[in-house]
Amino acid sequence: MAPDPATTTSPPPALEVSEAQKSYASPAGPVRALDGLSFSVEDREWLGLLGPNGAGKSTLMAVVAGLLPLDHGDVRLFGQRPVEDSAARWVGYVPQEIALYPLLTTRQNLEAFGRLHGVPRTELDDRIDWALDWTGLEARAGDLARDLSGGMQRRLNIACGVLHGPRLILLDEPTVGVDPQGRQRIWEMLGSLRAAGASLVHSTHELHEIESVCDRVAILDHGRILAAGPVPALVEETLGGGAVLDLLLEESEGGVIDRAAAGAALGSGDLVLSGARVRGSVGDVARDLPVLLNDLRAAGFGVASLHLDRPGLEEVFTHLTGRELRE
Amino acid sequence: MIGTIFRISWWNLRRDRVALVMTFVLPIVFFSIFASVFGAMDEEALHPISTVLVVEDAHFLSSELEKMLRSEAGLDVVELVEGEAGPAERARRMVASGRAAIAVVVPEGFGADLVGGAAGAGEIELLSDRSHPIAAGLVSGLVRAAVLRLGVTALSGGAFGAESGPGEAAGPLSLRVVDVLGEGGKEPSVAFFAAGIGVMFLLFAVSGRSAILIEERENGVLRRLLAARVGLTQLLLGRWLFLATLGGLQVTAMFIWASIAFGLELWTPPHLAGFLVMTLASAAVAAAFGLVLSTACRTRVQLNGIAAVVILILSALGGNMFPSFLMPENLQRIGRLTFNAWSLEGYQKVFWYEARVVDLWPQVAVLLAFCVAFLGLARILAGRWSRI
Repeated sequence: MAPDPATTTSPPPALEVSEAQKSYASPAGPVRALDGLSFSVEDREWLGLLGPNGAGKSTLMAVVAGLLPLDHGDVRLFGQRPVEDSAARWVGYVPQEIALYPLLTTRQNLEAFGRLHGVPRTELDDRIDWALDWTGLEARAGDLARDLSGGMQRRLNIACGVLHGPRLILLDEPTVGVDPQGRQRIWEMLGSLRAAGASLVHSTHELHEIESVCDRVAILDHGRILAAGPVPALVEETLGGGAVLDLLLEESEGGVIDRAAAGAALGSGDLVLSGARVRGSVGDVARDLPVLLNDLRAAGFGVASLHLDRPGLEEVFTHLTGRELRE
Repeated sequence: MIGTIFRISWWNLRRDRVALVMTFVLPIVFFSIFASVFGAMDEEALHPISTVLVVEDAHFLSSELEKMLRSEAGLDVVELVEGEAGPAERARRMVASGRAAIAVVVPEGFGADLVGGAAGAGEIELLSDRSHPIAAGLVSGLVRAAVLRLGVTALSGGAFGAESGPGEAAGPLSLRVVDVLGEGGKEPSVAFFAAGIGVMFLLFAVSGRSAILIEERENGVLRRLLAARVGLTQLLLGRWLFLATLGGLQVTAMFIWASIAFGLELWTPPHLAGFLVMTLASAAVAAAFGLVLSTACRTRVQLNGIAAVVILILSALGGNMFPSFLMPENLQRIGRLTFNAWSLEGYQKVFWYEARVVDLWPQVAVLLAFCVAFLGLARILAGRWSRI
């Protein structure tokens, strides 16, 4: 018997963005926030969205949340073009700010945003109870939002965006200003959402943490996706079999490093001198490291210590987006 | 160090345009309005007083008196309306309904008494509206002056022909002021200030509460609302409805207090009906005005400053602080462009002139037109929020 196509075809991606273009007018002229950007998020996937400030992450989030129209390009949610209320029903949007009513209680905030997102009245109380349990805020349900700690407000902020049970959740830097314990709790909360079947797109600057929680990472800059994939594949693809070098130069008498001489010895690669410390990626350790040490010795520098490590997301990010300061 | 602190303060002030306006422009604007009103209260600067002339006497001196009064610059003579009642009664009704500030009734026999010197006969009546306190004093002065001139001319015998002759004496003028509206002990200032202060604080209250729109923009709630497909129009209408309800309750509280503490007659059916109509219309337009302010401003600080400036100026021009009849004519004309002037006028019609609800239609129509215009403007201004 021939297989039923309906049961054998994989589900459509949760999100597909194709050739997205979006420009803003600014006093300095038009700014192209999205420049032909294309990417997708699979069903039940957790995608980390990385990029320097001004790379276009928030614009992309706003487009997918239906807050901004594209100048050109296409957005599809679960294989369909979002029409009218479908984006509001399917998408949960958690803005970067603590977007709560400070003079409403925890429960009232949940109730307000639940109603605005169209949660039926018959289900609202159950959903609120779930959210209070999920965020660990049951004991603070009657407290004003402004009286909650920063971490609690962040958790409530997320809960207000997912109370209606969206299938795709957009999180714009959801852990800004939260202490490590609070961040861990938020990762656990988001992990439970993914386990329950939601897809997540999550923008952040916290590279080390996102490396451990996301299925895939997309690195965005100048309105384009520079690279996307699981972190190990990205590292391999971007940096090959290289390593991260952490080297401490011996300081001369007086503790002064001749930066010009050191810079010439380091060359124009990814290595960066900061004080007496040299850090950066080395593409081929066996070939490049002896050359580097030789050049430093020839320039009069001794090496106090040297560590090699496997490169990670931070090295990939820096390699792809450069080191110049943004915004 | 002190110099650095001074410079920091100066740089901050220089970039805070609202503070600059509050510091330098608002006092000058207010001074100008008050100086225009109270510094120019001579007869010529005042708006001519709307006056009905009723001359029931056919004597030529009475006709001359009418001519003299009609030519007075301080009087704006309003023609008597047609009707079945007698002329004096029709004039009284015109004053009672606010269509004229005062009526001068010259009784039959006045001219003959003036010529014959019959003391106390032919008494001229001034039917006055006590809410316009200047009118009675000014018009009685003008009438006395005119009668005096008339008497002198009559004594000289030159101007009036054969009916008056030299040697005939002008009798003493008897003039009686009748308050046509305050018979029941009504105090006009209570109704005026309840409405004036009520409407002014209505504006302050709605502009203050409308700041929630700015807070929603600043703290990201607006993004969340828009992502939940709450349209800007829905958002503004929801806020408008709340502000209008709040404003209505505030004005109601003010009038209830005025009725308890100062005897304002709120609880009669005509007053209550008129009050409800005017309060609904006033609260609706004030709420829409609050939305315009909050959608025009970028920050709460900016809103507070601009709201204070705009509301104080509107209140001064619209007559919330002092009666508009005290203002020069050009300021009164400008005042008619403010919605609060129409609101105030409506309340005055209800509580002082005993107007019926249907007679409030001009005020209600203007207020609703303002309301629609303000809501439209607020929606246009809020359009830029969708480009976040």
